[in-house]
Amino acid sequence: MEEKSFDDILKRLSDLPSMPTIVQEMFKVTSMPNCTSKDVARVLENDQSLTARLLRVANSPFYGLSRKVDTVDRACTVLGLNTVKNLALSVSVMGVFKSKSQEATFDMADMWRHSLGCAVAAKAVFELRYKGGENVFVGGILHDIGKMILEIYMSKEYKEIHELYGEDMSLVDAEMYIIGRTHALVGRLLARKWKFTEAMEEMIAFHHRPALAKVAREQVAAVHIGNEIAKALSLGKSNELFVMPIDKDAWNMFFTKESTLTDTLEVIQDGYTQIEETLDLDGPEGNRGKRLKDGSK
Amino acid sequence: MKKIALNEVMVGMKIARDVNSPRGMVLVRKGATLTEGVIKQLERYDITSVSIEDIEDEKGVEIDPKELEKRKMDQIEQLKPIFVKAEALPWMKQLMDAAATVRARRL
Repeated sequence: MEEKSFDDILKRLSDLPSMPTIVQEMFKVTSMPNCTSKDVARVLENDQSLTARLLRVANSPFYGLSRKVDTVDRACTVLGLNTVKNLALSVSVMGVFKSKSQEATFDMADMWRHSLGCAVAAKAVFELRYKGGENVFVGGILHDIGKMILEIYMSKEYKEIHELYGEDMSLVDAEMYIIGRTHALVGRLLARKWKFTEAMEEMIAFHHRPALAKVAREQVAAVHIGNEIAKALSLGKSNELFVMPIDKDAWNMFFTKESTLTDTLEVIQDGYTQIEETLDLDGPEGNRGKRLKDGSK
Repeated sequence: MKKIALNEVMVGMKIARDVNSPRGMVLVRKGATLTEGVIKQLERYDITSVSIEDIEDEKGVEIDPKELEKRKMDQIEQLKPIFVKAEALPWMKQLMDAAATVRARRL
């Protein structure tokens, strides 16, 4: 099998999608010291479809609002700026890769479901010990972004990777063998290009090897655990067949008693079901049509 | 809520009423989930029965504990192939077990 040089890959990855304007604007506005919900609303309302999707998610039982919110301004007041910012980020990134999905050889909606499962699980695990798991939620949404890029921009090589991957070779090993780099590293490249925070970059880069994290050990550990929980509960479908061993130190950060584990998984399963329904992953921009055409599943 | 004999309880069931030792010390609080350790402790104190919360599926229909146990075993059989690389580790076995319980309640 011909080995591809990393330069070759970098060249092809140089046309990685640029960060959606709306997300750039969101980062700019929300990092201003006296940012108000009105500022956020002004940015978001430039994109009606994003706003609609965001409000649908905000109104899902996952966030447990007692009354329906119908404006971004109101959503910010009730859910908090940080939650709305992170929701907007998640929903808009999903949008970018959803529209590219026709070129991929796999079901993008199923991949996003797995990422959503990881996000819900990582947040629940993180919040067993710490407050403010919103960031971890986005980390879960984005942890496999490198896979999506590889599936779209290097679909030929990724097909070879899938052929190699199985009982005897892990997905990451197969990636190393064929392209010499892992999806985690490719995700990291995008994180840098899009100027994500260092914590976000680590959640993407080290979700398989949490011990390497430096600035966001707990967040990375939560995403690492969330990834395997999502597979164990079959939330969405990862292209990885197996539940892999969870790092012992990462596990011990959050679970000390067996009793909390089942309860946490209950919360995760319910949260996932509630939020998945509102995201419309198979919607008009998704690839349900493609799936039907292929006659698969 | 129902009262069941201690030799019929299962790991994962929820306690519906505080369990006290014969001397009145609280052994298990209401709302706690039974683990192997807790069950052993109750045996040590010669507790013969406990009140457990009804187990309901997602539609609120009560599930027979024996039926649930059977479903859980089925789920473990289904999970084993995807856990082959992990189940040797005790915490991964716990994860498999908990995932089977959660999945069984939703069938």
